Amino acid sequence: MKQILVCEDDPTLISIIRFKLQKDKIGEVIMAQDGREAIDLMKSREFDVIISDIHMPFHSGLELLTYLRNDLKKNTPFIILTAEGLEKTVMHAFNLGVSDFLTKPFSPNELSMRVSRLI
Amino acid sequence: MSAREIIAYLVEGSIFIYAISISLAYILLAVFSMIELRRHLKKNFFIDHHDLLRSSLAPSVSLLAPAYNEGLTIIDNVKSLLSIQYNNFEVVIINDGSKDDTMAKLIEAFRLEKVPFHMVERLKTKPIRGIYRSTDRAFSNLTIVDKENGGKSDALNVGLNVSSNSLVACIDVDCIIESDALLKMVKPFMEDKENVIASGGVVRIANSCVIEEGRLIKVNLPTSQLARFQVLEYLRAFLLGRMAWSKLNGLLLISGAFGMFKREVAVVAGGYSTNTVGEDMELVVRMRAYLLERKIRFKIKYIPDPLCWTEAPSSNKILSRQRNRWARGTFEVLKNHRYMFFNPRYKVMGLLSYPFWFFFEWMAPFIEAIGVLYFIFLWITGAIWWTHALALLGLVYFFALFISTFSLLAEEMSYFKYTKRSDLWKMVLAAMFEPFLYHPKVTFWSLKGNLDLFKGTKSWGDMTREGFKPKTKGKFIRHNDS
Amino acid sequence: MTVSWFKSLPFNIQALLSICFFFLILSLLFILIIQISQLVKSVSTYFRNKYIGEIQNEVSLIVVQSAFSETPDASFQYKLKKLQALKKKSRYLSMIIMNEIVSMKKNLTGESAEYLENVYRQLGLREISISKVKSRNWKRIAKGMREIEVMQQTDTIHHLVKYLHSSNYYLRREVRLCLAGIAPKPLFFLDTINEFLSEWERMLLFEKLKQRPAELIPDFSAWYRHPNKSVVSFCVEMTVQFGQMQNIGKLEALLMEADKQLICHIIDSLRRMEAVQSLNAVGSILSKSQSSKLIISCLQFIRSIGDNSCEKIVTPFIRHKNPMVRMEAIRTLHETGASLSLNDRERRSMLAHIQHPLLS
Repeated sequence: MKQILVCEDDPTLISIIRFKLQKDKIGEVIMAQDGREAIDLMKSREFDVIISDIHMPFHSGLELLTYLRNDLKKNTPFIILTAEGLEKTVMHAFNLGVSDFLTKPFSPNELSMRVSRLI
Repeated sequence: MSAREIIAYLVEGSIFIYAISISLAYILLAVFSMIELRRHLKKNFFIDHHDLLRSSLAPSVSLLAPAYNEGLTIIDNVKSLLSIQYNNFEVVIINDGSKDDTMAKLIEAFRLEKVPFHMVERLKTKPIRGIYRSTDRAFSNLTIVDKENGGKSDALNVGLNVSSNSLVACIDVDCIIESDALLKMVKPFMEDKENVIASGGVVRIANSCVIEEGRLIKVNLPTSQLARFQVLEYLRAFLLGRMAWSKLNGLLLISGAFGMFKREVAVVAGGYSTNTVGEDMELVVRMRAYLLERKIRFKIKYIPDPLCWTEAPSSNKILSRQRNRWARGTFEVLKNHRYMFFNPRYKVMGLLSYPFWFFFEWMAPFIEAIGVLYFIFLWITGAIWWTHALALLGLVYFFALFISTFSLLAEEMSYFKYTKRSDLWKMVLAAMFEPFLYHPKVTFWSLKGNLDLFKGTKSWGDMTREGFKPKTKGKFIRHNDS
Repeated sequence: MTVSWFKSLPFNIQALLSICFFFLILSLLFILIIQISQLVKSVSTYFRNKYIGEIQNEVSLIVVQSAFSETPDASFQYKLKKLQALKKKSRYLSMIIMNEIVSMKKNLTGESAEYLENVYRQLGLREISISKVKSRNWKRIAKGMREIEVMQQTDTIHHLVKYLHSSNYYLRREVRLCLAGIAPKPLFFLDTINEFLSEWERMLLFEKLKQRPAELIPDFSAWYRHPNKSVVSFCVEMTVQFGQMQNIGKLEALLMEADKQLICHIIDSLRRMEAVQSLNAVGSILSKSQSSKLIISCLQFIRSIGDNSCEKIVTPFIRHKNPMVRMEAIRTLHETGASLSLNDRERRSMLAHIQHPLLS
């Protein structure tokens, strides 16, 4: 089963994303509630796709992306899901190698479709 | 009446009047602060500061952090500053001629390259050795300035010269800044852009807290008795004092650990003074004076939310140096701005704030010392009416206990950071013993500070940092870790 | 015995001891209040922790499973019943359910959001929000407004409009934000507003407007001549943010009448809208201006829009007394491809700064 890492510190969203992706049989969802937990998981396991917020404790989503691309040297699809949709942030993220960028408020249906497209 | 009786009446009467007035002042400030604190909490109940996080209208901020011999923790500190939640800010670290490997570590960790930065030197400072930017796009908002040693004020002035944004936040690099601190500090500037020139936050004590990678994980009450006394002291000062002064627009002090200013006002007022160890208070007083003299309306806002956590001295030696410096700094500021004393031209600052600081902050240790000496004199001469003396001492003690428990109540009704049941009792015990075990020491060090000032001491003293010790098993993630 | 001892003391000692006692009682009272407060908080936290997981799961399942289900009603009604049972247990749980639904709704769009609105109505939470808006406590009123706005209950606007004239500033601000979020004409209240719109409020209004459908966004030029300067400033900014290019001419006309601060803002706005047609107007302002801030705005405009034909009007500013103006002038000349003489050390330093990739 596909492994999906979701890095999100908002507990309200955690259950929605988890239920949606698992209900749509996209894959098994592993949660990380802060950047440090995410880095530990990224180092120890392989994931088919990573979904991350930008603003999280310890390491931001963009730091995770940089770590994934530059340090772990992996091309794992990486989706940013954030409330902050400023143009310069979006461009910065794409410069760093993000695969897709979704802003909140978001549609779970749309997220599910975008994730399945990348896997 | 004999001469002795006259002297007795004068001394006792003066001390009595002083005691009544300082007590009334503290009570008024405490009550006023509490009302304002509740009002602040109500106002901000609905504010989601994260709205600012996602807005393209957020003003740009420069974070200025001088660093001197911070090699032990500089990388973690800078990384935690870079991860502060805000979408439009730059971090400027000013290496103030460190003798250790601070600069080398920064260059390596952040892949720095020297750049031909053209700096407009609006404030005169010590020479700059180089300005650096990172070649790594992830750190594109980081600027490092390497300069010759000139002290904290000089380093901050370099930061003011280098920064390009209209708002600057001056911080101590080893303080832990809460992730939403900038959001909260910027808000007053957005609510009243024309008038607000500065905002200051609360400094809380981080001793025994769980700190990892430059971030506060869990708040704990300090285990050290000395640090606990300081927690109580900070709660009284920040929750029961500054809130009231802010409301009166008479706040004289924005903590040097974390304050935000309109850059232009700070620069035209002359920047930080390098002639005083109380540079944070001195700048605020000077900015106020500058604007009052030109009849320009302004406000200085105070945010009672805990935004900044710092390591408090945990040994008498380091604490004595700190209090010595504070006493010298206070006097230097009061002396340099003595033209304000009861001067109506300076409105609340001249008529209320300055006299308050002069009489009840600076003079207090002297009055206490005179009181103690007079008491000893009476004791030796057998002139003490013990019942009366003990009743008076009891009154002073229970008044102190009342103010301390009031501050604990203010903390409980606002930010309640110390949530364990036992914390309350530990703090009550600290409040009970503080008048005997702590207060005499800080009074003595304040007096010594003034004495040292008269003798010509100018230095900060060696404020040795132990660094935050990690309390849990988390790993320190370095950028190149694999 | 204690009382008689006390009475035997001189009056002044009695007074001192009474005050001591008074402060001691107050201290003990404060400690007692803190204890009670801590107890209440820990009970609330315990209660919340006990049910929050279940509530989040139930609401998430409704949101996720009811979309695309073969028989949506069956599972929807079942889960709704569970939530209703939880809600009935206590007012506190009812409040937690409300907060969770509102918090979730803020993050979702599309069908999921519609399902949440359905849940909100079917659980009777809408009536609770309306009753909050009708209460006397301003915090409750504001909370109710927020819930109504997040859940897009547009048919309740008539309950809110009266607060536009409330004596409480925070209520007035809340209702404006709320109406910007749900009213058919989002900014209708701007017509009559006479108090200052802070930057903070403007930012929040903008965030609300961003979430409205494009066809509901008003033409901001309607308020360019509003007597309230903060409204004018806000509308100029919104013109840029919503790309209302048809108003460039009107903004240019406004340049002639506005005060210095607004002129800077308008020029910045024209720059961001890439208003090439305004180059002459801005050039004219540049040649007459004495204010450094205004000069810098004009130079930035020219740098963004102009070409090296502007060299003649920009060049004098490389000798301006303000170093920031000099820097901006050199940057403008450099980026518009104009020629620069590099005799001056300061100019060489400025140019090196401008040209370096890590500093641009």
